[in-house]
Amino acid sequence: MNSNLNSDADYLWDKTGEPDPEIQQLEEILGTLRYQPRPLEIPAGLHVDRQRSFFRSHAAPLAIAATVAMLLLGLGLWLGLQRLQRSPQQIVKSPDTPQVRPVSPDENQNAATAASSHQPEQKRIEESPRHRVNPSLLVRNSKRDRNTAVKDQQLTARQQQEALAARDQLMLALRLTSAKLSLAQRKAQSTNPPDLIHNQHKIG
Amino acid sequence: MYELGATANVLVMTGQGKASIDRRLEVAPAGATAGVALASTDSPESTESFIVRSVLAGDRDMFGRLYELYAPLVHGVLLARMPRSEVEDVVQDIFLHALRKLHTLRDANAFGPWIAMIARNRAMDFHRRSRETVEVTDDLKSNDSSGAKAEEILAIIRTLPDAYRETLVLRLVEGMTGPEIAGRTGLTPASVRVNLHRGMKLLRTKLGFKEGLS
Repeated sequence: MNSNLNSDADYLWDKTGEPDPEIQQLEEILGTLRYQPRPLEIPAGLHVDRQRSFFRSHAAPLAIAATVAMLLLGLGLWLGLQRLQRSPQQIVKSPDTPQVRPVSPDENQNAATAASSHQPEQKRIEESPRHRVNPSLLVRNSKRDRNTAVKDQQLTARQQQEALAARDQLMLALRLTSAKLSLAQRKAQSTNPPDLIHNQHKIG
Repeated sequence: MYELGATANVLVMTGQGKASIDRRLEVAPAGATAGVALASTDSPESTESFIVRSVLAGDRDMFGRLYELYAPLVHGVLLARMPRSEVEDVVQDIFLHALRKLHTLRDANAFGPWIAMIARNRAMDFHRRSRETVEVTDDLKSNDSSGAKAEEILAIIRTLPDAYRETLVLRLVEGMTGPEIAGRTGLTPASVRVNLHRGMKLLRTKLGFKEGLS
């Protein structure tokens, strides 16, 4: 077997070289099972797709591109909505906050002066280019305005207490004055002689 | 060079690889319907690509050329795995399936490996189905003694590992050479050579050549 390895290899590989009798014998026997040509019967109604469609042949890249496009679109929409939601809050809420709470006339005056002092500043913030460009600054400004409004509320409460105390003191002072006046009036009436004319009549 | 006439239509149809086709095609003899004849000495890579494109372009008759080229391959692949009585019909089914699905073939040069893989899958399906229903009986015994002997040797070949039995059947039954097997199955020549030699060694051992086949 090993002696005719080269000739065996050649013949087994490409039928060249010295033929191996054993392989030839096998070829002869097994050759009876060889494929016998037979015409291919193609049914008349057989449907054949001629070309791969563009979408089928590029399915994977198209799917990736569509996914990326959808993600970008979604991100754009989300950012747009976020900006829209942030802007009206900024414009509407900030100036109204100090005017919502009912206040006393004194406080009202203070609040009005505070609001009037804040309004130009608010307008300046809204109209400045920095405000328009960077929304995060808007948020910071709105926080500052809210703090100012809260501070205003705290100040007016203290003032309200002081005003109440002052009113009480004033009322007490008025009551004291009224009592002293009535007492003085009563003393003055008591010091006059009740029959002075009568005495004059007497003298006269 | 080719002559204008039958081949001119073919070249216009494809519009590509003219030089390659020029080398691989020769002018068909008078009365030939296909318009081209394959050069017998050349490997079929570019030829099969050209035929596949022609079939996809609507020339269904060209599929007959693919059938002529690859029916022995499919027959051999099936014979290494299935009972002989079933093989003939399955070969036809596989080619009809291939014709229907030809548009899914990505590389027109890879028709051989593609249809060989279809055949292997079909053989697996056959065994799966037959295991579910009835145990497959042995091949029908041939009347003559040589046929019986052939069936006997084939049964022994089927006991070998997949790679060996397919290569051996293509070589010993279908009469293909090693380079032809490599070209049509898509395997490398080195792999085919190794499979042939190892398979042959195993077969010799199993057959017991020292006792003689007869």
